[in-house]
Amino acid sequence: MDQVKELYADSIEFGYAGKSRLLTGIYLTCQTGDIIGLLGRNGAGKSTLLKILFGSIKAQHSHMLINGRKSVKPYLSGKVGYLPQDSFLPTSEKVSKLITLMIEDQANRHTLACDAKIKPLIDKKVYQLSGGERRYLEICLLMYQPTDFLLLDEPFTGLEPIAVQRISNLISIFAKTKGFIITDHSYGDVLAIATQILLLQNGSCHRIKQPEELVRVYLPERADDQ
Amino acid sequence: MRYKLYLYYFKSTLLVNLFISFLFSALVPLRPSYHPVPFFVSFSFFFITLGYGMTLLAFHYFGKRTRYLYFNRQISLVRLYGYGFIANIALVLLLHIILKMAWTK
Repeated sequence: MDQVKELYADSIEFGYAGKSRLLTGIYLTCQTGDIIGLLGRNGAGKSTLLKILFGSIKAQHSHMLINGRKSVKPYLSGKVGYLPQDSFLPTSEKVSKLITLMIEDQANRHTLACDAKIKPLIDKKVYQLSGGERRYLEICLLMYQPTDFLLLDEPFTGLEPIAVQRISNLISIFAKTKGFIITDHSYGDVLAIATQILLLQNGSCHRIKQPEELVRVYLPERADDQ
Repeated sequence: MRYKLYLYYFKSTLLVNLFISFLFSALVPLRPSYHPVPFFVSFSFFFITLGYGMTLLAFHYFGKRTRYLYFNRQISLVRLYGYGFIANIALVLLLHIILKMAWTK
């Protein structure tokens, strides 16, 4: 039987210098097969939490285990990938070159190069791609990494519905072998694919068991209710 | 396989590095040279210190987005910048040897 792969984070505390604590005692676990939707208002600390889980920001206090092993900078373990809010690809490079740079396995490289959406872009430079194409390429490049967990920061923001659908399908396919933590303000798209919903509020994570709870604690009140 | 990303970093910083290094060695000639050709000393010194240091600062400041390209391949900034420094020293040594051989012929 395969060993359960788990990203475990506990007691994460973080605050920017001179400001009050942003995250206070965050606890979360993510296993392969999980798609965790992390929701919260602007400035709640969603992106900061993902960066801490990835290891690019150091928390004042944290206890993180990747597959049972303690990890201070999880990205160095090669088990965690991270999609930042802004595009991380160098704009002057060709798509084909980036695939060669980023994907180690030749079979995976070939699979990605033959992807119906990537194939027409292969000779284009990154700056020539639309926002949706660029986001799709970035997510594909991360999907084909040999990681167990992917942290996606606003993968759907600013994308047309067809691009959102394409990315959602991709996440659902790879969720068989990876665990996902997704944060996005387009909560409908997150709810559609998430297996768990966490709400980041007042520095801590609350599990949302029923989507209806979101109406009470996250969504704005409707004008006709007032 | 990650060596491709290290090479990519080296190539993308090399031109800026060379430009700054040549600029420094031309503008601030070093006199305490114990070599008959001052260029060897001045160029080497500036290449591996100021030239690379300034390139690194520019890369660090302007490359905040692209650093996730390296992080997602398990390359930390310390490793990346350290590699760049060592690669520059190796290049300087190589240039030094080539120029010295050409000079003595």
